[in-house]
Amino acid sequence: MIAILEQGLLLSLAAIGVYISFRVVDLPDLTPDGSYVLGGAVAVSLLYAGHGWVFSTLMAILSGAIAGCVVAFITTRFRINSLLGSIMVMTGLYSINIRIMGAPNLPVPRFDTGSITGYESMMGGTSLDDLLGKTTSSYQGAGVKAVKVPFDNLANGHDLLLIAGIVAIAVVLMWFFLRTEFGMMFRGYGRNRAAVRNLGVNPDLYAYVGLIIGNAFTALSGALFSMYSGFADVNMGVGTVVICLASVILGEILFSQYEPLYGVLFPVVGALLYQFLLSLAMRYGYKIGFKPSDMKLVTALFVVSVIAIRRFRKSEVII
Amino acid sequence: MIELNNVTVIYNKGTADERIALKDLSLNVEDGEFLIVVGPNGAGKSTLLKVITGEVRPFSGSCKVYGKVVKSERFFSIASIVSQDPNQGIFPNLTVEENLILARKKGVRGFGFGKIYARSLDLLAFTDMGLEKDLKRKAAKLSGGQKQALAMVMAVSSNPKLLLLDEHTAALDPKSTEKIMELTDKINKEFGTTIIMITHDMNIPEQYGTSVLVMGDGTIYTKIDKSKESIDARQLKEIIRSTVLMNVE
Ligand SMILES: Nc1ncnc2c1ncn2[C@@H]1O[C@H](COP(=O)(O)OP(=O)(O)OP(=O)(O)O)[C@@H](O)[C@H]1O
Ligand SMILES: [Mg+2]
Repeated sequence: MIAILEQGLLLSLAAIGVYISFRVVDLPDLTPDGSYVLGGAVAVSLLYAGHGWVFSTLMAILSGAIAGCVVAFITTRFRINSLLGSIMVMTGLYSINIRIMGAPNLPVPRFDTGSITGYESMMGGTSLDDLLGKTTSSYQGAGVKAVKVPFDNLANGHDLLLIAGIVAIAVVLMWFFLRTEFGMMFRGYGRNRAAVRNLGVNPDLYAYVGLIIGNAFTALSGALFSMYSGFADVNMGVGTVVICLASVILGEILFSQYEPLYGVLFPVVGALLYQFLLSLAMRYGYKIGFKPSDMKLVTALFVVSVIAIRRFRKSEVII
Repeated sequence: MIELNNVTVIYNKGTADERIALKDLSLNVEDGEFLIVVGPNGAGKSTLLKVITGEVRPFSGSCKVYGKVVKSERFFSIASIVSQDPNQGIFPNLTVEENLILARKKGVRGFGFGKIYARSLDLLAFTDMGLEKDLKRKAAKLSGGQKQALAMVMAVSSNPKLLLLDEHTAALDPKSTEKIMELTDKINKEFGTTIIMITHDMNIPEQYGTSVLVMGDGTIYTKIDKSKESIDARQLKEIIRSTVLMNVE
């Protein structure tokens, strides 16, 4: 149960990002599939290089922000639909992520492999030996220095507290931001670009801010997930947008008319629910012949059907 | 002052779809003038406003607003525009209050935010639509007339020199139309804002405005200065009708 909450909250950070781009500023953005990995790749690579986890995470956030900035530039400068612009960036990020990691995937070195002689010597410290034991052989030759990550992967609530704290700070910051006068215009921009221009303000500014914040959140989520799970993989971002969108929609359905904290709670609650449903499907799904890999199909079908239902009841579309 | 000299606007030039929207049109609008523009569909009325905002570039001729040649970026700091679509001028997902707060952003001249806001509330109260008591309501949930009242108040909250109105009462019922027109008139009279207003409502030119411009087929048929030519309502209506009809043949 704790693991579900932890993973749900990690996902919710990416979902907040998708909520910002898809809902708040209404710029559909597919970059998260790439910027999620980018966050993980940057964080793990920096950990390798001997930097601390806080610095690595901050740099990961920055890298996501840059990716968002590039999408915003392409979208506003060349007047390209944000979907198309973001597909370009997402595709490009695939190559960039491999460059950053130097390989399609990169494990988080948790042990000082220089002093490790074999599997047995690792047995002492952690309960994750089974998971990490498999990868020791690759460390041995390299002699990688161990890094400190903030997660201990024990079901003792430590990780949960940390992740929940980060999500809480993120939610409060977002809420605070959306309350300010700039945030008001930011929200208004999402529904009426022309009115922003009418007020003598350049609307493109808000496209930049929206896509930057959105991808910064996604990269943060990817970075924390990589540290949490012990690896970064170039394919770990596949489906991020759809999963996050499903989370946002779940949240919207749960809250219906009510819009807590300008809707910033939608993605958080939605992601928790999504993760819960996912683990249910994983645990009991086999009874009806469900495979974990089917989850993405189910998610995609869910998103499409909700959009279809909303389209049919057009007059009731929630603004 | 707004000066258009021999302005010609051609849409889709060089294609099979080519269309001349304004033909060699010249027009002066004085400061403080309240000009009502009438004419059949496709006469070029909206295009005229778009030339003034800089949204459409003339093929030939020039347009100067307060002595400066029009550039679209500059426009929004001196002028405001309200169109016929009540949803266009407001942020539907924000509350009335938030809409008003944002509206003061634009080119504030001479007076502070607090004063602008207070004036906005006064103007809202003037329209008598109950908006000033409903500040926490989402703008999307307002009626068409209320939305248009809000859009008008937002448009003038920073005291623009020029207000352009493209059929801003077209979607409203007679009662709301009257309220919005009273507000429009007040803005012109009390703040001295120059107004160019397009309408298809033939009752408006006789009740409001200092002058009437009758357009058709991309040209000006006639411009009537109501203060100089002392004509009564019926005469005015007759002039408009006959001018339009005569030229349509
Ligand atoms: N964007 C455009 N592209 C091509 N042609 C256009 C465009 N906008 C207007 N036109 C044409 O220019 C002419 C003038 O249009 P305009 O919108 O100025 O007329 P209007 O007087 O405002 O009419 P209405 O009363 O219907 O609003 C019309 O023939 C119209 O078809
Ligand atoms: Mg028109």
